[in-house]
Amino acid sequence: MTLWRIVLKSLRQHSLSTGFAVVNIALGVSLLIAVISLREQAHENLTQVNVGVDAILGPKGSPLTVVLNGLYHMDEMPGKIKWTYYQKVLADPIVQEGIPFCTGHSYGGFRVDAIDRRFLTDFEYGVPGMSGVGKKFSFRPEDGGQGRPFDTGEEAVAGWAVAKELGIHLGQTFNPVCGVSAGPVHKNNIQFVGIMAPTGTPHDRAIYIPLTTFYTLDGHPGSTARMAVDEQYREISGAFLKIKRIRGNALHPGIQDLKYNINQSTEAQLVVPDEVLPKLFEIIGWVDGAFLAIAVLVTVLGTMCLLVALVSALRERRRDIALMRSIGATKQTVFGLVLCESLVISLFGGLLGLVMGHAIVWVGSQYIKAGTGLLFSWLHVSLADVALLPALVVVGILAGLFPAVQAYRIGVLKNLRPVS
Amino acid sequence: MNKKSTGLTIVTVAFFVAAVALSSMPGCEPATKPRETTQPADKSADKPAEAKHEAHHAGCLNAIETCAVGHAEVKLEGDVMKVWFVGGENQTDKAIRVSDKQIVLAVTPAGGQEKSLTLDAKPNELAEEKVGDCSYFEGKANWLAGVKKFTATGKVNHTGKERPIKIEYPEGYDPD
Amino acid sequence: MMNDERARIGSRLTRSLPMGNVGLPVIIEVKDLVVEYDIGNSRFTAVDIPAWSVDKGAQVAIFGPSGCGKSTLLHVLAGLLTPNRGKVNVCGQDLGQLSESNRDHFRARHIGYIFQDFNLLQGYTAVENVLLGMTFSRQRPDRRHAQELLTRVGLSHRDKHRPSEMSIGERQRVAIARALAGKPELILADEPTGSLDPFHAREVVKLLGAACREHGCSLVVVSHDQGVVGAFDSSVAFMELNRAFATAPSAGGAA
Repeated sequence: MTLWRIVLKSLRQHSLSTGFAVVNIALGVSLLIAVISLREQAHENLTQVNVGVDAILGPKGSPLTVVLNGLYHMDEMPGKIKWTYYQKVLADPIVQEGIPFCTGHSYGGFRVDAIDRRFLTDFEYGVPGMSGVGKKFSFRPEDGGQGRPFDTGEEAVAGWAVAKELGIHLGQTFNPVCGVSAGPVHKNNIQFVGIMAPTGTPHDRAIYIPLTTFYTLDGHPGSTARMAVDEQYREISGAFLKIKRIRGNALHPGIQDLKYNINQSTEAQLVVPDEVLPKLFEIIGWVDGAFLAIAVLVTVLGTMCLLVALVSALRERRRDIALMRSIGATKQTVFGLVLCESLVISLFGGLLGLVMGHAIVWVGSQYIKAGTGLLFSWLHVSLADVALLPALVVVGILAGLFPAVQAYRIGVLKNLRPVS
Repeated sequence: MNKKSTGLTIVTVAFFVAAVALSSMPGCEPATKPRETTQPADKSADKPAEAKHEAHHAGCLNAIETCAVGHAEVKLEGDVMKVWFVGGENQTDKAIRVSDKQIVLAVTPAGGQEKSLTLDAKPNELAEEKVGDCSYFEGKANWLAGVKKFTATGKVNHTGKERPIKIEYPEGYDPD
Repeated sequence: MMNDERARIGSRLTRSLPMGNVGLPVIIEVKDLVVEYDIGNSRFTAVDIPAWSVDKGAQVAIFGPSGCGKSTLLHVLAGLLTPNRGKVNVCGQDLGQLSESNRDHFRARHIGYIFQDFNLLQGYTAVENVLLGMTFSRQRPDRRHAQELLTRVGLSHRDKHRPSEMSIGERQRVAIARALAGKPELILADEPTGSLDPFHAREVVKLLGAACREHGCSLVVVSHDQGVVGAFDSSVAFMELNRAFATAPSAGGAA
C-alpha cells in the first residue's frame, strides 16, 4: 500500500466529486488548447512570408478580399479588370513581372484558378537566397512532385495539399464547378498532368488550369470565349506583380507611387498583401482575445471547482485522516496526500482536456476547410500543448494548497470518536 | 456532492457552452469595413484624423486655403519639384484633379531671392488623367538643386474655384 | 475476589520495581505524570501518576470505570497527547523531547494502537487496512506478511472484504492484525473488547495475548471489563495508579 495507492483510493472513494472536478478542468483546458491552436494556425496560414507576391493588381473593392481570394483562395473577387489596363501597369518601369489569373471555379471544395503558365515555370515563390534566385515550383519526384506543368488547354496541375486531400493522381480527369460551392459543372474532363511539390504556401491549396481555358470552358457564353483571343476585350480577375528590387533586396520605393497612381483609377487597385494582412489580425484581434479570455475563465472556474471538491471531500475524511495520523502518518504525509490528490485530478483533467481540445480543433478544421479552403491540422502542437504540463502542476498545487493545509491541521484525538 | 461543487460545475459548463456557441456564430466579421484604398501599414493611420494627415509620397502637405478644401503635397528631388494635389482632411490618398495645364509658383528659397518656377501637368495614365484634368505637376530648375527650405505662392483652379497656393517646405502649411 | 488479589499483587509488582531496573528492560516508564483538561472555568485532572513502569514483554491490563482517564493515559503513551507535567519514557524514548512530527514517526515505528471502535478505513479491504499499518511505519508494504497476519487472526478468507461486510469481532481482529503489521515493540489496546459480546471478548483477548507473545511485543490493555482483566498476567487498577482519582469527581466507583 504505497502513498500513491492511498491517493488513488481516496479519489475513487469520492469518484463523483473527483469526476466533476476532472471534467471541469478538462473543459477549460480543451478550450484553451483549441483556441490557441486555431489561433496559431490561422496566423501561420495567413501571414506567411514565402509567398512570392509583392503586390496584387485587382478590381476595386475590399483590398482584404483581393488578397484573400487571389492569394489564399478564399472569398470571391469583387470584380474584374481589363487586360489592357493590366498591360499598362505591366509597362511601368518598376514592375518586373506580372502573372495574370482568373478565379471563380472550384472542385472538391478547392479553388480552380486559371493562370498564366509562367506561374508554374518561372514564378519564384520563395524569398531569393544568397544566390539571388528564389524557389520555383517543382514537379520532380525527389521534391515530392509528379508530372509536369500544363501545356494544352485541357490540362491541369494540382497543388500538393489538394492532391493529398482529394486523392488526385496523374491522368485523372475532373470537371470544374462554376462558383465556390454549388453551381453549373463545366463538362470539360480536364486532365491532371502534374502535382506540385509541397511549398508550405497557400499555392499548395489550389488547382491550376491555363488562363485561356477559363474563357473556353464548356457552358461559358460566347462573349466570355471571345476573351481567349481578343485582348482588347479580355478581362481577368487580377494579376500577381513582382516589383523590382533595390539593394538589400528591398522593394523598389516607387511601389507606393505606383499604388497611389493605380488607386486613383476607377479600373483597378494595387494591394500589397504585407500591408493588408496585419490589419486583418488587428481587426479580429479582439475576437481572438475574447475567446482566450473565456478559455482562461473556464479554466479558473475549473480550478475553483477542484478546490471546492477537495475541501468538501476533506470534510468527510477528517476522521480517516485522524485515523491515519493515529497509526503513524505525519502531518507532512497527510499534507502531501491531499496535495497529490489535487495534482492527480489536475493531470487527469488536463490530459482529458488535451484530447478534447485536439478533437475540437479537428471538428473546427472540417468547418474551416469547407468554408475557406484553409487547412488546419488537429495534430498541430501549439504553445498551449507545450505549456500544458507545467501549467497543470501549478493549477494542481494552487487548488490543493488550502485543503492540504486544512488536512495538516486536523487534530487527531478531536476527530476520532471519544472512547473513555 | 455539495451545493458549492454543483453550483460551480453548472457555472463552468455554462461558460463552456457559451464559448462554443459564440464560436459557431456566423461571421466573425471585421468590426469595421476595410477602406477601399489601401494605406501604408504604419502607425500614423491609427491616429485620429485631426491629429495627423498622411503624406503618401513622403512629401510635405500644404493646405489649399484650409485643410478641409485640399492639400498640395510637395517634394523636392534634386532639381525637380513634384506637386500632387490631394484631398482635404485625412483623404490625402485621394488625387484631386485640377484644370490647369501649368502652375506658376513664386519660390523663395531660405536666405535667397524669389524666383519663378513653372510646374507642368504630368497626367497619371494609369488613372486616365490628361493635361487639363490632372492631379500631378512637376517643375525643374537648376537653382532648385541643393535647396532645403523654401516658401512658395501661386494659384490653382481647385475644385471649381481659383484658390491661392501657399507652400512652406519642408514643414508644410497648416492654417488650422 | 481472586481478581482483586491479583490486582493488588500486580500493582505491587509494578510499583515495587525501581526505575531503570537492571534486571529486566523497561518498556514504559512514567514519573510525575499529570494530564489536566480545562472544562468551562475549572481545571480537571484526568491523570496524576507519580511513578509507574512496565517491563519489556509484559502484558498489563489497566482497569477502571469509564471516564476515569485510562484512555488519556494510553494517548499519552502513544504520543497522541502531551502531558502537562511529568516524564514519559516509552521504548527507551523520552516522548517529551520529541516534536509532534517525531512523535508521529515514533508511533509509526514502535507502537501498535487498537481502538475500541476499531477505526478501520471503510473504503479499504481488510488486507489494505493491514498494509496501511506497514505503510506509515516506513516498512516496505509486504502483502504476504499482511496475508499472514490475517491468517493468524483467522481472517485469511476475508482479506478482500471491507469492514462494512464484516462482523464486529472480525473487524476487531483486523484491527489487531493492523496493529501488529508495523512490527511494533508495544501494543496499546484501548477497550479492545468494548463492543464485543462476552464470548468474542474472550476470544479477542486470547488472540491478542498470544499474538503479542509470538511477535515479542509488550501489551498494555485498558478495560472496564473484569473478565478481560482476569485474562492477563498482571493488572493494575487505574485508581491505584492515579492518585488524582481520589479527588476527582466520582465517575462510577472502582472495579
